[in-house]
Amino acid sequence: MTEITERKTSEEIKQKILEALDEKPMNALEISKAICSNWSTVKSYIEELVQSQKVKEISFGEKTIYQKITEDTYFGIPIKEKDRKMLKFIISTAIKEYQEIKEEQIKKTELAKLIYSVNSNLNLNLPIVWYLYGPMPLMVLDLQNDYSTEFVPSNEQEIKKAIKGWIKEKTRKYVREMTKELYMQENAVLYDLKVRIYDILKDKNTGNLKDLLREFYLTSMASGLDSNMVYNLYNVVSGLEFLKKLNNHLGEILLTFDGIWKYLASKNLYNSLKILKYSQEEIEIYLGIVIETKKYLAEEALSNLNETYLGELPKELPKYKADDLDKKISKVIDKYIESEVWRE
Amino acid sequence: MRSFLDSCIIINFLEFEFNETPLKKKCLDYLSKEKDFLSCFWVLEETKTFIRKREVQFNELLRKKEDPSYNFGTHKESELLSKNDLLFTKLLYDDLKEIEISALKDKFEQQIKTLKIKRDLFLKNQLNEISIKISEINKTILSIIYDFIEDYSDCKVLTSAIQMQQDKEIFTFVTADKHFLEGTYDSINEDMRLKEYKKPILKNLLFEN
Repeated sequence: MTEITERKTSEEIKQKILEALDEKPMNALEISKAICSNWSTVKSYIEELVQSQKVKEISFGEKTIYQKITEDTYFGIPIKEKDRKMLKFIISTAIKEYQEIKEEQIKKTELAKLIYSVNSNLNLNLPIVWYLYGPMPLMVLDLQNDYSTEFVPSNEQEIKKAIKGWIKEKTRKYVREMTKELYMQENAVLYDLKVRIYDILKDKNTGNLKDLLREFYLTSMASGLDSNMVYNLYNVVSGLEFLKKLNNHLGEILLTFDGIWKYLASKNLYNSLKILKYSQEEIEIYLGIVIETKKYLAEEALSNLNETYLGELPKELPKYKADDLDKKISKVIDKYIESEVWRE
Repeated sequence: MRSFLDSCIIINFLEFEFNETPLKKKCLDYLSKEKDFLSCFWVLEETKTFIRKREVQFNELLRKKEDPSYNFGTHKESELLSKNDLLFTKLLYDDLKEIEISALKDKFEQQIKTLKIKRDLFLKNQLNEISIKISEINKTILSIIYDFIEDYSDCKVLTSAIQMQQDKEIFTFVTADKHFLEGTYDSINEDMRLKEYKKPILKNLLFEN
């Protein structure tokens, strides 16, 4: 091992370390094995890379691992170099073709959907994740960035054709319609409901807010997401509606829903990374704190909204007028209460 | 004297208006007569879960009404229900077979809303102190009480009450539960392993005239 190390320049070793960290975060020993260099050499170069802010040091108790700082991906999540090149090729081609065909600049949301579509149709296996607005590549989409690349994929013509086809097909559609269509195709009911709830809250038209929230709660539960906060929000909204105070608190409800959605979307991102075969440990490193923070913010917003709701409660409720149906229901429910099986 | 409330007192109180029974009336009277109430977070959680389960039971029933081929307990939401909860859901379904689905929908919504708001109002206006987080329930006391009372949930409530009792004047532990028999409570009181702990006085409305 030492022999090999001696043949490499310091810059070459640092480059090898960075390439190794493209795969996943590692500790010093793992890096030294991956690049066939000895531990002490690796350690000293890693320290240099940390100082020059090319690598981030993450400590858990006594364990220290190193993560490459990638500025072109969301949350610094590393992607393979071949995927980066392919994404740059698709993005730069899409920007150029869109400008030529439509004589205007492509929007970020359109670009995300275009990449998703091209990836799905041509089975490119690119790192695509589901996050706040639906599917998107892990590479940050910022139209101010330079995505130019000299890389030309072997299926260049096929990709260009797919890009042009997508742009032409979507020419007459609004981003909103495209989004809806995509959600329907992918059976992404939760995302569709999210859009409808945001619309209602922004338009201040509370007609079926409670019902949509209930549907959102059931869908998030069916998707295996943490649905407790949604249920609590649904309860508060039902309560405020019952008290005829819903319209007074739409701003706070929007803030709370937004917080909860950001938390749930980060959990979706987490699940997407699992599908992309990132290990549990890696995902925890990239997203652990992000998810905890979003959860905390959502809980805080919900707690504030709940306080508001409690403040709106009257001293007494009007007397409930029970009818025969209430009594009929109670016949079974009273036995149920008495049996205490509800405590199981 | 202050009163520590078990979940069943609150639930009987919440249910009173739907259909009066002697036990519900006793719970309501007790809560109207006495003033200073305390409870624990486990009771809060239990009452919340009770209403949530009820909501799921109603939803299950409506699913079956809408589609008679629907099998109870197969919707993701029904994971919250135990086998026995589902058994009562089926009983309720059989009893309400003749009622129109729209009438049931309205009634269920009305009942759930009322239960939720009444519970929130009760917690806000009538409970003066809530203490002992679920994670803070003393496991040693809990396991000793479990030697006497088979219902684990009851054990958690009594353990929380005993923990709350330690820095307070003796209060009443008010319940309406068949597991809290006087003899059993005496045995808990006399158990050597719990001799260092102050215990509340038991008042079981289920066995009072």
